[in-house]
Amino acid sequence: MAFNILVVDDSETMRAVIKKTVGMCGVQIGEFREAGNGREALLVLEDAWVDVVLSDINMPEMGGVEFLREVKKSEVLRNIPIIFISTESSQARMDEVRKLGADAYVKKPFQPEKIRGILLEVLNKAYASRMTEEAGLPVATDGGDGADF
Amino acid sequence: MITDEEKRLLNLAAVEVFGTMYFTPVELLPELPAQDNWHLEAQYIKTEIGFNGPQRARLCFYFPRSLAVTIACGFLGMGPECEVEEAKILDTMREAANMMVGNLLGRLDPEGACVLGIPKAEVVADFSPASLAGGDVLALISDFGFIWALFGR
Repeated sequence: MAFNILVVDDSETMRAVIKKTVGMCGVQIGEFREAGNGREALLVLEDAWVDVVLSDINMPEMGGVEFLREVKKSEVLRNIPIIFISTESSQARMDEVRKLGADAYVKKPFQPEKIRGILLEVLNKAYASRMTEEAGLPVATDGGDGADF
Repeated sequence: MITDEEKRLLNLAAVEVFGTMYFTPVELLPELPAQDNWHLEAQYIKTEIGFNGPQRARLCFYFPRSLAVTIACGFLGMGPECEVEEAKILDTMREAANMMVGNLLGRLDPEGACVLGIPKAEVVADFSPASLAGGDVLALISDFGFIWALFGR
């Protein structure tokens, strides 16, 4: 069963890089959706089912923290895993989003292997039964690719 | 005025971002190069981003166009001399500045009390470091010539 993925970043090129990185993870991708900020991402989530969100924090109009708050307010959306990929690397910011319910945090700049490891870890945790249904699907390990929090 | 510690941290941020994301070595020079060695390009990509809070600064970077094109092509997984749209070059360099200053801020402000701004980027022609004012002028060396920076408060 394929996973629908939403990437939220105000940089089009960064979205393209993340898309390419996710495409190399070995996970079967269904719909790949994009949004330029949190507000656009909420509109995407209103229209389509998404299995996991990879989001930046520092964006115009609606940043990642506000977006996370809105998602967690919604009965329908609150269980969608959210991974932050952000240049904002202070421990305080990471603690803040973890407390708000983010599933993982990756600091920019990142190595593609790190995104891969964390995405697999989060998908395994959130959708264990679906992941095991897929023959030959890579399974995340604790090999040093863990989230930054 | 930029402190020695801020210079040291800016260098660490630049080295990490350019090395990890763009596979392009850069290094902040301890002193500005002599004018004879500037070898200015016809166009530069100017980016601007700041942060506010208990600490504040505004940084402008001037990237040689050849560096920006190479980085944008590599970042997008295209060949080294690909034809890339202007908007994507600006977007790539805006993100580079965002990552550098965000990385710097994470080092300067581990408590997260400061707020990072939204970066801007534009093409500038006839750029000269001699025209920079309102802060400290810095230079980073790269394989594509000098990246110039202006650090203001």
